[in-house]
Amino acid sequence: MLVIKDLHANVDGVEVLKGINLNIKKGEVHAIMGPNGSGKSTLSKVVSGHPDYEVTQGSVVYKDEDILSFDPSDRALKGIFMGFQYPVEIPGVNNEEFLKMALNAKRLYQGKDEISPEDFNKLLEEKLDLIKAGGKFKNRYLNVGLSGGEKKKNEILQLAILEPDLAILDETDSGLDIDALKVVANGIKEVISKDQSLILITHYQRLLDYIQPDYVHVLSDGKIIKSGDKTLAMKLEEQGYDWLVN
Amino acid sequence: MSDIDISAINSEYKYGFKTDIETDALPKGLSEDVVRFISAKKNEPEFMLNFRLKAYKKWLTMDEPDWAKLNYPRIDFQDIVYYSAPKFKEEFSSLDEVDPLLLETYEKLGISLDEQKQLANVAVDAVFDSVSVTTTHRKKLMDMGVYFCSISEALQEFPELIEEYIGTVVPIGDNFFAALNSAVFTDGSFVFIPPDLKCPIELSTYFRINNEEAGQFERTMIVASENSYVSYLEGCTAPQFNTNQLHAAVVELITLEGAEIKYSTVQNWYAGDRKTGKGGIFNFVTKRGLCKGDNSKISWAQVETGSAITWKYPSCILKGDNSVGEFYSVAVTNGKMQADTGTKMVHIGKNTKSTIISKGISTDQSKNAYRGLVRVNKGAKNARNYSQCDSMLIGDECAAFTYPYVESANSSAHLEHEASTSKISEEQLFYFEQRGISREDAIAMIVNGFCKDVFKQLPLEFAAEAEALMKIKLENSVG
Amino acid sequence: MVEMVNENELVDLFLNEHKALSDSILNDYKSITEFAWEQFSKSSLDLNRAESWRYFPFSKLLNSLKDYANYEAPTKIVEVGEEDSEVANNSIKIVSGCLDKINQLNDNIEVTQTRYADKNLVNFFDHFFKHEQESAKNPLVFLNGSLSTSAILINVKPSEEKIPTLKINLLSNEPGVSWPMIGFNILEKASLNVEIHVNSEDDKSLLIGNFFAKIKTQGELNIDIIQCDNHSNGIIFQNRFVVENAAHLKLNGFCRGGQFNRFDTEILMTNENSNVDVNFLSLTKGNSQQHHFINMSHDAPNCNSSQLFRNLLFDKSNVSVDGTVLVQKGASQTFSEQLINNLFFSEEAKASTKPNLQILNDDVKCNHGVTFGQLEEESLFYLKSRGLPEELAIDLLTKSFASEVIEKFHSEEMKTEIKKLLEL
Repeated sequence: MLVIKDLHANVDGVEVLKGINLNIKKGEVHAIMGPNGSGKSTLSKVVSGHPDYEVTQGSVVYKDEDILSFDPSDRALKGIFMGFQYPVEIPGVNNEEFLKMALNAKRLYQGKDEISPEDFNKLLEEKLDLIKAGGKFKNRYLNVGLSGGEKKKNEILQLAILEPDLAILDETDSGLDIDALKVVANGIKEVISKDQSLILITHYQRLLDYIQPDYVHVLSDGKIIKSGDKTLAMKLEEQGYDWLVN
Repeated sequence: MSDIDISAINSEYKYGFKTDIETDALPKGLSEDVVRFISAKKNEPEFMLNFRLKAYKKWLTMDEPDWAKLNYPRIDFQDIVYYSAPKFKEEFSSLDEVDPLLLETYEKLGISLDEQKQLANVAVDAVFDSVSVTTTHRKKLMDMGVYFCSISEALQEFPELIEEYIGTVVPIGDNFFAALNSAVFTDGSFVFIPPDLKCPIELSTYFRINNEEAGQFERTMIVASENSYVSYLEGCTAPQFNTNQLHAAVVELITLEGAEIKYSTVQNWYAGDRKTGKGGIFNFVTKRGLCKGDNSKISWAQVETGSAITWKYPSCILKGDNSVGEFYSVAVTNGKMQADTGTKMVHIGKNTKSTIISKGISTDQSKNAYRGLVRVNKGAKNARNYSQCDSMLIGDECAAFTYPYVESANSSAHLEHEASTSKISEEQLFYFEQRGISREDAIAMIVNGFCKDVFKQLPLEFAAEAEALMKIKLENSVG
Repeated sequence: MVEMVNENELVDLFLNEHKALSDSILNDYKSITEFAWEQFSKSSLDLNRAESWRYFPFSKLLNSLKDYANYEAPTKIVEVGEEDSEVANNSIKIVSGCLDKINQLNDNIEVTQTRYADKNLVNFFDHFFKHEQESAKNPLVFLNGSLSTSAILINVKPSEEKIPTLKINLLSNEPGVSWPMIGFNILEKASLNVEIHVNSEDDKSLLIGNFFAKIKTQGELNIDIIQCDNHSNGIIFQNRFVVENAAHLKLNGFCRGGQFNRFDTEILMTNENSNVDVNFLSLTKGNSQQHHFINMSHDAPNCNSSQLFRNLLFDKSNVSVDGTVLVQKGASQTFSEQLINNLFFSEEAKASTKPNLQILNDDVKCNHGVTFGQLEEESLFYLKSRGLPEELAIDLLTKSFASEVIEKFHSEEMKTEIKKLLEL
């Protein structure tokens, strides 16, 4: 599904990723952990094509195609979804309209017709139920006036509607209290199917209590310094990152 | 002024005394002869006399600006003494030769010119009625290659440097007062920092107006060579007279590639009587810095607490790519003071950045205006500016004005401006009072908090002085 | 087209031109125009305001004025018309400065025309001229007053039922200058929504209009304006509003197209507890220019005012906003805000903002903000990462930028219309 080889990337002329290698197969759940400033968020932005990040070396191959030259919207249409750590607020753009627009862009790309208003309503209600979100998410401007937790929930709603093949969730658990975390984590579990691959970027182990990763990678100073299974995450929780970094 | 004992500041204006010292002064009035006299008196090179004459001719064609809508009686430029100097030998070989009365004056102001008592980390150029009395730490500075002396001396010793830079930042005809200054300036400070030197001590000029009828026209020039750094402080006081004195200075700063100048001012000219508004300094000053080289930086920090009239806009011309301009200002007005101050940031080079933080506080019947312009020229790709101008009013007879102009001719600019005007709420005061803090102290604390973003830009001793001055200005402002 | 002319020279030219005009126009309209003309003749374009006259199309104005030399005042008096399938009910149509049609007015709306030489009408306008004489002194206000051929006064009485929206259509369909002058007199507790469309069908017209409004105690006036011009015409509006006790004024505008647009708006909040809300959205393309001069004067306590200007700049267009907020000594408990956002879509566009905040009272809360920038990269990336193509993402963000102004419009039809006009 996704093969990252020797990936180096700069932001503002400073090298942040210094040779990342990662291989993610269909249906796998990978957790990427690491201290602040280790390059976790950069990795997600490079894969999804943020213009501020300059790839200086290496490749990102998704479904047998190097995607580095693709526009962010092309990558999204091919099935890559990124859940933002800080979703932007866009006043004046209705959330429901936006969801429909994004879904239709995808359907158009897949050669399908636009979804009918009735079908869309049905789909939306279904997904709202799935993540236990109320109608509040429909008649609002995109992320405007939502709390931190609600914004994250809105990201999961988009994930549910767009049904990507690969989802990268960047610190979806940050800034959430324990109750909100439970809701968001269960939401993710509900919407992700066995065929979808998932990358969870997180600083803490607690999200992984809800979603069991197949692999855990530790990122430090732009490189993956250790990979393992979920027990690695527990060890990190107990002992912190220092034993790995030093 | 850095070693002022704050506890000693308790009167309204403690610098209001006059020194009875014999002066060498021209009669009142301005003419081409006066300009020639000043130049001859200072034994200036030919180019300087030509510069002055050109400026004088230009000045004759110009009108006093009135756009600031400051309210003051018309200045009679023939009723001013254009040259007044304390009588002393042309040059002192040691401080023993300086009139003890003068030294005493500076002692009273809290500045010791005595080698024994000088502050180790600050070099001072003392200017008395437009003439430099002495400059401390000269030898130490010379050894590092730093020239710090009066501009008169610089004209004798490094005329080529002056010729290269004078009038390049503030042209002769820039404005009415700059033209006047260019014609008749009598002294001021000159600083040259050699390449790659971070000047380890702070340089400072202390201006004192003493003569009731003399105008003060000093000229300061700082040139920072490639990759150098200097922090410069300026302080000023004047005796308490019932008449107004004119102060029309020009300051030019030039930074070459990678250089940085930090220029801090605590302006405490006599502001006139708080009740009647009688007397006080008319302060019409042109201060401008040119970031000539790439990656250079000029930072202005000012605390304006004095003068009956303040007309002053320390500005930055950001010519070099990636150059940075900053302006941090606190202006406090009380009594019948009128302050019109602000800055201009002109973005010419690519990736240039500027920051403006201005805090105005007005009390009594005073008027306090922020006037600023951020201009992004066509070629200034990716220019950035952040401006914040806040005003606070204390009492119901004062006024605050904000004129923050922004112009952009380059679409890649990101400019952001915020301004607010507010008062100290009764709620806030009550909270303090309930905790046992007096109203007066509470106001001082709140105002200091309001000005914190600016104070933290000042050198430490300066910040303490500024806070103390503010407290005096705000005394009895709220019943 | 944009040329700088010496102001005094202009006044002389006007004075000469006027000799030819005076016979044909002034006699008919003497009652209104006398005072205005007297003031105009006395005023020069005030040099203190010279700043605010930059970009002004003097030469076009002068050329157009020559057309007036042989001007004959229209003799038609417009009767309130019956239902007309082509024109909406409760509407007024003004063509090239002349009142053309009044259609099926609501009972609570009463229109007086110049021709009736109505004393109330004359007093109403004179009041504004006298105020202008004391304060802002924009000579165009007086010039308009003396040349206007279709001064109308709209009186609105209070009504139990909601008065349907009054629609005004200002159309220019011939070359030259037209001088519409419209007064709104909102009586105590009366309330009116107005939709104004400003259009043109010709390429050489300059519309110079005076809008005067008085909103009495607890009255309410909501004006939505759409100015859309596919030609290179000029529009200059002098808007003067007096907002009295606990009265409300909302002024929403959308401007698109035209070569030169200038809105000179003065709002006086003369009594306590009033509220004023001004919102303008502009989209400028080509070489077009858009200039706003607004003067918000808080003369009484407990009033709120808010101003929002959003500008979308394309091509070589040039937009300026000069906004004064004046809080007078007695105006305690004032709340005032002003926000100006410029969004650039072209490297060659230019914008300037000149806010003047003059606060003479300590018990106020005044905020002001300005931004200059492009579409936010983060937002663009967010939308693109959801699979939206770039053009759609840009379109969405543009609408998002515009939405805060659009939402302020009362008229749903106009909201839709603006969204359509925004399609890039």
